[in-house]
Amino acid sequence: MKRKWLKGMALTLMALAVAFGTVSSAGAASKLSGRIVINGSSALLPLTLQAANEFKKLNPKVRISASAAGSITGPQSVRKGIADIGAVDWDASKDVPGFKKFDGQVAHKVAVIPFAAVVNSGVGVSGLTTSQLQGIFSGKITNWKDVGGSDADIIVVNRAFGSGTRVNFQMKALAGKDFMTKGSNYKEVKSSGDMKTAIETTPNAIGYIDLVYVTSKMKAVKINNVAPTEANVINGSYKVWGYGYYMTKEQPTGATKAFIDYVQSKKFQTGSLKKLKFIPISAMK
Amino acid sequence: MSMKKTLMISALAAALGTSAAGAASAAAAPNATTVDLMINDQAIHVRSIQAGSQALYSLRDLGAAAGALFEVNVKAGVTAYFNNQAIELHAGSNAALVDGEPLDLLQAVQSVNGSYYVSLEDFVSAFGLDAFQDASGKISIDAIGKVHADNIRWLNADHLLAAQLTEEGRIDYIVDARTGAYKKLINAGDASELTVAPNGQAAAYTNNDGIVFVIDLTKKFLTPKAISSDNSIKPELVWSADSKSIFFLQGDKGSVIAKMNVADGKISKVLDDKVDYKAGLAVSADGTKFYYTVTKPGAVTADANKPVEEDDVNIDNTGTEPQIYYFDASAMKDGKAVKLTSLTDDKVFVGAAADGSKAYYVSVEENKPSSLVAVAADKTVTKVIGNKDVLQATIAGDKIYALTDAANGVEVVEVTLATGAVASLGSVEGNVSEVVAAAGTPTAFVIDDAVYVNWNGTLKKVTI
Repeated sequence: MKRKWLKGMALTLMALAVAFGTVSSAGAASKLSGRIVINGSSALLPLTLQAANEFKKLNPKVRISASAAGSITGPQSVRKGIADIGAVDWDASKDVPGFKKFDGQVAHKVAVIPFAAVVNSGVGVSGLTTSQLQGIFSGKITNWKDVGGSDADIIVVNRAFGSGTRVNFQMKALAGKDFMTKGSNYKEVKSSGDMKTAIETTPNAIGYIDLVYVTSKMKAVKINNVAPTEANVINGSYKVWGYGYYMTKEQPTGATKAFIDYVQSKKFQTGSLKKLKFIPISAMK
Repeated sequence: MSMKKTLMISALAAALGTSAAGAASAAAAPNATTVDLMINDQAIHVRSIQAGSQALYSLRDLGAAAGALFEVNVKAGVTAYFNNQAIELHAGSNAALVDGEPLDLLQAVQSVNGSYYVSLEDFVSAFGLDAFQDASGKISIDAIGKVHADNIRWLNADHLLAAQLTEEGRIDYIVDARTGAYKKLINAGDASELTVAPNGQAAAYTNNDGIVFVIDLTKKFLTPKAISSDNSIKPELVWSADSKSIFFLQGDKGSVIAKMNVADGKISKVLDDKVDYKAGLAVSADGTKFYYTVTKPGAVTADANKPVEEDDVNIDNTGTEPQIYYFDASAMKDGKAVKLTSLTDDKVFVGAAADGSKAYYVSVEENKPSSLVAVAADKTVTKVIGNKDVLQATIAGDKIYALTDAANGVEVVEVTLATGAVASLGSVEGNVSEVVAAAGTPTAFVIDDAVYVNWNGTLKKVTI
């Protein structure tokens, strides 16, 4: 048990304030230094930049640069040696549909990200089954009337190859089944923002997006009769979600380790991470 | 007092052959002298004996003053109940049990005329207390139970708001800044960090859905009230100086500066210039001048048509350092903010003078001491503290308090904004991670995760 026997602690112009026991003389505010470069998932970029702002208040000598161009560029950047952390919406140390694992990289969970199948607000369908989603996104079901809607052609909006949202949606909502890749009623978009715009403005469109980006101008549909809500993710009934990861070349050290530790800390997980509408990783125990 | 507790004290009194009266009236045992100590800022008389070169003190006198209850068992010795802990001591033994966990005492407990005597250091250690000795040798023991704070903010000149983080969320406490006594304010699993209004009468937070709630701290029963149904992401909340409005950054990228009236929840946009990743919002007292940083993400080029194994990706981080921006909502009808800085230093701890004339920040350059810098709305840059390595700074009304690197800890520096005068307040040894201050409050320091309030040069520990 730690002893708590202290001399009087005072603020003194002579720097004579001394303390021993619980108050060590181990040094002052953090002098940890270094530069961290982070690249990858656009969905995780707001979280990364928020964490960077807070981390720098605790460790002002650490400089952090962040960028995003899709999940796959995260572990690619780490492997190439141009980033310390690769932000990615799947565990890139394992094989997933479309991508082989990045050998040797270490995955660090940083957030839980729910994904939703979304339709234009004019679509009169409020729920779809896994089988119906597989049919729609493979191009086998082409009219909303075949899944309980009105007689109108379905416009499929897909994320481009390399998107973490796409990988997760394929694995979790489509049970691994392939997407259609072309056709007159098919389009691809490059980012979550572009997906949001496409669904909001394209009649009869269907796509998928991080739950956090669902707006009042679109409709998130139930999957297998379960609504895409944070509560349903946590209680296990809604299956279309994934972890956001920070990938490192090996076990991290120094400033990189400290930053990852901060993002995984209670302070950040129950604070700003929730403000940004991600789900803390501890919620999924 | 419960019957059980009464019995415990009576049993001890019978076993020790003394009454259960207060320590101040305790009669000295044979061979015992009486010494004066301070417990919880109250002077008490404590019986003391000399065991060799070591002074030992009456366990009952100390324990009673601290608020402990005792139970005596002939075989098990004495068990003290204090702060939800059971401390078991045995006469002639230096082996103690604290909640069943063994603790080696420095001195064996002595029993003299049925009274247990312990060393002061052992008493402090076993009971989990803090003890202090001033320059004159006077000993004070702090036995007031304290809460652990993961985050601390001033509520008013006498109270702090302490947040304790749990896996489920957070619990907020109001802490007496003079004693450390605390009471629970709110236990909210889905509440973000509370932001206290400048008048100390309200606090705001957002829940998981982005809804802003306000708690009226003047009410006896605290009920968070949703003041708007707007569920957009709000990374930062900043109260207006009159405590009637809340400014906030809006959206996952913090692109918009908006204002919400507390009374009716009405939201108006202050600035919507499509510039992403604003942060560190600081607002002048009149609510018209805004300072903030903008961070530009790096530029990435990647050819998705090439095989993944080629790693055809490149990152250009040129110009990604945060820059300070200024927006005057009263003067700039075209809605354009002004970029005040352009250098590649990192800019941390951004704040603004109440009159909106300047922003202040800690400028961090690689392999150089950090400095405290002011930048005016006309882009004039001034080094406020340029001869020390500035580790942290916070604006409190018309002052800035900064922590600067010192030989064995940190030096605390005060800057008077009106004159620019810089004065050293002193130094604190130890792992000092933060100075916390607000207009009209003392300074407080986070040292090894505990909070100490600076009362006229003496640091009072108020959280553990």
